[in-house]
Amino acid sequence: MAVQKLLKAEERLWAPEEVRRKANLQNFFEEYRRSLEDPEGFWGEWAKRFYWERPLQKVLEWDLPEHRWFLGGTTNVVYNALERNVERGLRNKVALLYLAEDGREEKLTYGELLDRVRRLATGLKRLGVEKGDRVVIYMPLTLEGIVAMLATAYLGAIHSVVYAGLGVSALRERILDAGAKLLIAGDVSFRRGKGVDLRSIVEEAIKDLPLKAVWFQRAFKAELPEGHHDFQELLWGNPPEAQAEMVDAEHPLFILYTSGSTGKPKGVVHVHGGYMVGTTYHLRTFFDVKDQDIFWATSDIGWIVGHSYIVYAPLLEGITSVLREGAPDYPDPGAFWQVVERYRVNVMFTAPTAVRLFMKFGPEWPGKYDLSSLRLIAVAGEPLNPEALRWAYRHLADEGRRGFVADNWWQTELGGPTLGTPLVLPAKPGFAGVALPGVEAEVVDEEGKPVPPGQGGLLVLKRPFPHMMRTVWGHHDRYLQYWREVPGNVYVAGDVASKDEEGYFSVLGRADDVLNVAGHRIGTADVESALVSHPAVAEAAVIGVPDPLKGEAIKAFVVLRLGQTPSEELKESLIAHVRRELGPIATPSQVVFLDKLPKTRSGKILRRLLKAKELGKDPGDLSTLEE
Amino acid sequence: MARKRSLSTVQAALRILAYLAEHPEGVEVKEVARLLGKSLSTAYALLNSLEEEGFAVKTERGYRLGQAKPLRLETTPLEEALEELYLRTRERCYLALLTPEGVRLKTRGRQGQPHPLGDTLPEEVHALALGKVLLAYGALPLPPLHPRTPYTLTDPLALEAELARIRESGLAAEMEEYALGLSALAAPLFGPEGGLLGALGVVVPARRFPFAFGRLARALSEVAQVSAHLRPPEPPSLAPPALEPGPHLEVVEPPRPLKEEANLRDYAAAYRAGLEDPEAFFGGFAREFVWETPWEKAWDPESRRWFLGGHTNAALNALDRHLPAKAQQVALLTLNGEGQLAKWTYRELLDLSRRLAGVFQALGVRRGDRVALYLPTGAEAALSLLALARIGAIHVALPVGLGPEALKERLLQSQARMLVAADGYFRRGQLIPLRPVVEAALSGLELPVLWHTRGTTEFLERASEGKPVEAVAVPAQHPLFILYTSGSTGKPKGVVHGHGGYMVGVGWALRYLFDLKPGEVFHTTADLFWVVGHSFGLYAPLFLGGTSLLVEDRPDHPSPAAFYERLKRLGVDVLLTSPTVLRTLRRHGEARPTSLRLVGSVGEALAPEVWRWTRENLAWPLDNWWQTELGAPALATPITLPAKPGFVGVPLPGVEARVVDGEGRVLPPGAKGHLVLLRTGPAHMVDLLGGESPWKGELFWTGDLATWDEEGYFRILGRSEEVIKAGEARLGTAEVEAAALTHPQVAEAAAIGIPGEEGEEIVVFVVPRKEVPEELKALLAEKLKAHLLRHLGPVPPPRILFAERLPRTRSGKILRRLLKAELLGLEPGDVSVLEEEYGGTKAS
Repeated sequence: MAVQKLLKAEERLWAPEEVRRKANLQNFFEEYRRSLEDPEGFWGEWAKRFYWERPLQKVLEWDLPEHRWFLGGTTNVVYNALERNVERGLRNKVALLYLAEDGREEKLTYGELLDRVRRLATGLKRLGVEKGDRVVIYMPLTLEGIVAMLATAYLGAIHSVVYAGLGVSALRERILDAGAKLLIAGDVSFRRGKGVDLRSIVEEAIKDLPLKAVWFQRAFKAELPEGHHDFQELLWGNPPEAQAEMVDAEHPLFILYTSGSTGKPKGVVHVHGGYMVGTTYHLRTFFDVKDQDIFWATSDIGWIVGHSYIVYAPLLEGITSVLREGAPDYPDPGAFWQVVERYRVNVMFTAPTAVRLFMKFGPEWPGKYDLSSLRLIAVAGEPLNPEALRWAYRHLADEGRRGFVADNWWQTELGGPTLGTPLVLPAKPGFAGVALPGVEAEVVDEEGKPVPPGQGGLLVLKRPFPHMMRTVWGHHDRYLQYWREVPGNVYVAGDVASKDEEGYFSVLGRADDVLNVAGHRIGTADVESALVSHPAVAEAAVIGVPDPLKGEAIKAFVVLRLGQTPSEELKESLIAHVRRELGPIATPSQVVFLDKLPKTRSGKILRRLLKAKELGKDPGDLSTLEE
Repeated sequence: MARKRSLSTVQAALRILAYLAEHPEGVEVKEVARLLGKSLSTAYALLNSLEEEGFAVKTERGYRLGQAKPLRLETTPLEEALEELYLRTRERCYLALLTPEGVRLKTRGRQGQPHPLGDTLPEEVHALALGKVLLAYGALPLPPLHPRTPYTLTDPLALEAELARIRESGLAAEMEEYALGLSALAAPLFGPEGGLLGALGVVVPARRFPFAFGRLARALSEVAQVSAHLRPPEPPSLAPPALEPGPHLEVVEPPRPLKEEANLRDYAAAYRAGLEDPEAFFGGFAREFVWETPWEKAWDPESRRWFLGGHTNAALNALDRHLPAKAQQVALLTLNGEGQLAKWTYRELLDLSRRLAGVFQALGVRRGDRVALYLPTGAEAALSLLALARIGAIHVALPVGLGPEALKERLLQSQARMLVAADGYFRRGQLIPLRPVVEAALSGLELPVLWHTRGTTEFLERASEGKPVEAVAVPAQHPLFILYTSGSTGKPKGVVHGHGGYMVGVGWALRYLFDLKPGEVFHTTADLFWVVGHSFGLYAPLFLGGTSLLVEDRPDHPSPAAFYERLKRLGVDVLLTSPTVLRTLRRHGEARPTSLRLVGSVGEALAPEVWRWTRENLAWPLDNWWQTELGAPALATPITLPAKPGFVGVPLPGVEARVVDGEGRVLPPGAKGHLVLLRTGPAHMVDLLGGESPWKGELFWTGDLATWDEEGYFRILGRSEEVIKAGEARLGTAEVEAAALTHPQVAEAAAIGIPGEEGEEIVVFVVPRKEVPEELKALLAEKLKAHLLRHLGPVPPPRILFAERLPRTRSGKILRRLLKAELLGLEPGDVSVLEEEYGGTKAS
């Protein structure tokens, strides 16, 4: 295979001896074996570190594709993250460390966080939010955004965070699909020293919807219409009275939307019990976080990494979690490393696109700072190309003398690391790593049969784990679809992968019409619908093209309506239109006007052909082509 | 004039009735107004009163004639007077008519105004202005004196004085005595024969009283003038009323949860152990700390030294000891004058302070060197103290606000080898420059200065560039710091505290007296550069691995509400503050809810009134007494013991205290004398620079006057140099002030003695709780005088002076000598320790 040739098969990058010796998980293979042989004992034991109002009766119940965990137990994730930790003496420990681009910091202790969460929960309750209600959160990466998430979950209500970079139709669609009762929104986010207006996007998105709204207002305090409230007033105007709603372990904690190859985005549902147990297990064993560590996941609360590893897992484990609002290279390309030096960050979790960005700026930037505290850099979101891994290992981990670079692979649906390189094992450039405890992964063909090592195929998971999605909100059929792509009742991740003799997986890219732009999954269908909603556009097709920084960039092919003539202005207008509808991350970097699009006989657009043409590859089997 | 207008009122009423009779369909108010040629409100008032009497009935569109026949078109002149007073004042008015059946009350007032009385005089008639008039002229027997509100005058002597004044002036005032929030004025009405017919009064909300007073008094006396040409009857002589029992001692049990969960449950056992076996008692606690070399003897009675032979370091125990376990725990919260809140974890404090220590070392600072600091409360100050302690240097903290002369004197006296200074500090939101003060103080001195430039992070950046330095172990007696006592009198003395005993003493007090639990937030409002700030703002909380809040500006800036909000938001559990701050808060009324569990009070005597206010509004008060020399509390009321407001409490473990006469002979309970200590705790100073040792033989002379009771509770009466010798009596200033503070109108009080005919005259400066109009000052002064006499017993009558504020030192002590100087026109002397906002008493 072409990919194999790129890899130096013999290359092994190890974590420093010292780091390995102190690793929380020493005997990886034994742990892995036990997790598969005795999942009940394995996960049941980990679940004991948490508070269960009613003890669980049974650890798991599988009837694939259905799976349920910690049956009979009642608990609340936020109670476990806050009250439990305050009670065990962490009241004055810093829970969250917020950083702005200008270096301004704000720390919230576990005690303060609990106080604020309870106040806001009281306020939300007074606005009528009850157990099971959906609350959409459209907030920048701020303490308040996290307080909003926690307050919602504290009441047993279900939050659905929409990344505050998504556009009008994306937000509206998610509000409607979730059937939200309330929206908590920010008026502005800050990036590159500038405010980005969110208010107008929100106002347009909720126009005519019977929705209550709470505004986190940083730009200015606006006169709010009836049914709209100010976040700070709601928080500080209410006493910390609310009590954690103890819910069934299988009660939904949140809905997080992710793009699929077809149709609308899918509302991935995670639940209190399993999510709590699974994400924390990996925080300790894969991310190797110790009690006194400073942990920094550079993601956003709008994504699953933010949910699991900015908010829930670190707080559940009583760790200090860092969040930084803004761009990684602002005010200068050393911004991230300055944070690491100043706060002595021990474990960092970032994305390949960020690593490639640092590569572009050069090793002198991290070299200027004291990164001696940094023990582990975990990377996930899209395939980490070998050059990027080697660069990070050399310049961020001091060639393995100081730390380790741990690639890992997972998805919104999976809640936490699934494949990865544990720091007791060597990293192999081009490989995400091995199946982590609790995970049984395989590479299969379309018949569901395992393919030989080194050969490409579909990445599937043969058994569920506690922090794996339970359903797609309102569309259980779409959940079942994950398990029915290939025969054998296995979960099909939608990625193409290969596996080597040692059990290391190399994830090559999406198998479907989903793009991965800077780690964000974007459905081609979403971008195409946005384009077609422009009055000048008759038809549109979107493909991903390789991009040195983002991994993939969006290229759009557009057929104009009769009477419209291609022009640069029209291109700009189309790009602006998509940006408004879907947000900046889904903005096409190129727009090409065509007379017609290649289609199959059934009328489906043949992106394969467009992509092959674009990349100068063999387009493959074109027997279904219309012309 | 008055009579004419009152007649016109009756005429107007008749004209309205006639008009109503002509229009059975009803008339609108504006028609009536037009008919009378008066304002709408007058028409309303008249129609209202007609309706009240049943002459008119209110309808949808206005009024129509009532069913009741207008039976009594004639009104008595007295009722006319009531009507007239109402029309003139538009306030709720009362008429008390003396009839053969008794006193009949009539009232008149606009709708919605309070009507607190009903138709009959209440039993607490002495609290009413109207009632006082009737009492003054003997129309009523003197009733039993029950208090009705905190403002009620229930003191027979004071009442007698007040009644005499009413007879003199013909006007009685009631200042929220009957109902909170309501004040009233009343005047007598006399008949043609000079007999008292009744009284006429007007009631207004108390907040408007000062402004309405002139208008009301004028209206009242003019209306009452209908009989002014007649002579009042001879004043009756009231039978001397039976005196109430004296102010009884209050004993208050602490709340049960506080007591049951106290860190120190058995105070008595601890006290015994502290004296009998200091080795086990304090040594046991001291072993929680890191000692490089263990001590040979926890306490040596000969030298009065603690932990001899032991080697340790205060900074090491404040920071290094807590890592890595508490690396991410917040150690300090700092709120600077710009309003920026910062949280410093133990990791950050350790990292920065060991680097700042490196900066100091690079500047040539060595173990044993003295380094002066002139900084406001904040992170930079805290880090500097910890960095200097780390390398065994001695920090000499000089609070901002000291003038150039005082600063220079202390720099010279301390032989500081360098100065760390800020170029400004914040007071009430204003940046006050310090550079000129420092430069003036440094003229002629060769002293390097490390500047902290406000509004920049230069200082912290400089600190972070230092080479990290490890803490050096020093002997327990090695000086940690020098603090100059604020001293309301005399020259400053340099009190020297050491590393070992101080650490044990303040740490013990924070855990076992102030009852701080793990995970709680502690806050002291004291300046970091006073001993309270050193001990409990910084060192003790860090010794225990706790969390402490430091605030640069005044606690009540910009408002008391902000103070409460801060306590609430930051979840402060235990507060240590001063009576001054508590009085200031009390002056603003009710507190807002906070999360406070305990409120320590130190700095001067906590008056029972303020004790009670604190308990009702904030949390359980913990009074405690100590001095810079003692480093930590010596007398206090531990939370497991009942509190006796006014009494600071009992000696703490390690401390033995007595009340003695001038020769050192122990006085029995109840007698006033000098407070002396026979033994002191581990936080006792290790040296004293430039002053006479307070130890004379076996006794530590505190300089305070005190009494004690049979149960061993001490009451501090003031400094012994602050005794007033009035007549036969010797009164502590604190005693007089506490008595004055029990009057509800008094927010703050300062008592001084000035040379008079019989020994000294007691002069009490009073800051009233609310604004008092000029007209009422004499009245209030009389009330206060009577109040003081009653509380102080047989002393010559004190003089009362009103002031807007009192001169205080920056640690909150009243500078009585300044008041004295002002009053006698003398030189005020050294005022370097004066709080900067004081602008004279403006006594009146």
